[in-house]
Amino acid sequence: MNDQGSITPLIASYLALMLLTAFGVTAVGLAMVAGNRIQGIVDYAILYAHDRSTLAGVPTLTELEREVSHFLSGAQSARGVEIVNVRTWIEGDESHLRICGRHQDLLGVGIGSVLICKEAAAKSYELPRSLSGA
Amino acid sequence: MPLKSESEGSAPLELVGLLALMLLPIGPMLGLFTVVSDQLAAESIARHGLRYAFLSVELGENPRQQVGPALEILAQSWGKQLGDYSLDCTGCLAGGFLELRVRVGSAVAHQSAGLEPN
Repeated sequence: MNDQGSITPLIASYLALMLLTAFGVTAVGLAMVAGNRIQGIVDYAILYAHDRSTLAGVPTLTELEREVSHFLSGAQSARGVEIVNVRTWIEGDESHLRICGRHQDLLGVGIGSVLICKEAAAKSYELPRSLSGA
Repeated sequence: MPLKSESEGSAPLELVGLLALMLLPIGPMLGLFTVVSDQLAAESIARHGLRYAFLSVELGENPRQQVGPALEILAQSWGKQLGDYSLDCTGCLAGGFLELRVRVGSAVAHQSAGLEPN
């Protein structure tokens, strides 16, 4: 019985598997973290814009777009995010915002996230007299 | 013709080598898990803490006094130790920005909200 050979291919395969797993875990982690950050930006951007674009509880699209743009340029949390696409629309008295972006240098290692899209909506409502204290 | 064995090398040595290779990634993977976990916790704490601070401004309270205990509770719910935080609202005037920066471990999260205009 001649049992000759090398375990080098086995070690190389194992190292490749390790690297693949590490990259996979990092990519999933980055996407989760970036998703949280971008969802926060979208949530607060739509609140900010809706508050400033409504007249008697009904938003106007041009105002909404302008105020979203103002929030994204002024809020410090949006500075680490490369905004790729912003879409605003109105359905009745509801304002909607969808932002697609990449979070840059998330864990401080120079790696950006994949493109992540998040959406939020806002609506004005009137408090019942019993709750508003009127 | 008799069978002849020509296997060379040491099986225990190969076993030790392979085990070392298999155990090697545990340290870096645990480190990576901690970094990602800290960052996720920081992002969540910042989002919910800012919401709390935002509502306390609406109620006419001082958000700087209110947000600290809330952040501690949020950090406890994640099982994390809150590093430090800063809340900046430049006088907390109506229409201004409210900025919350939270540190958990080595992770820093930052969220901004606009205060309601008059």
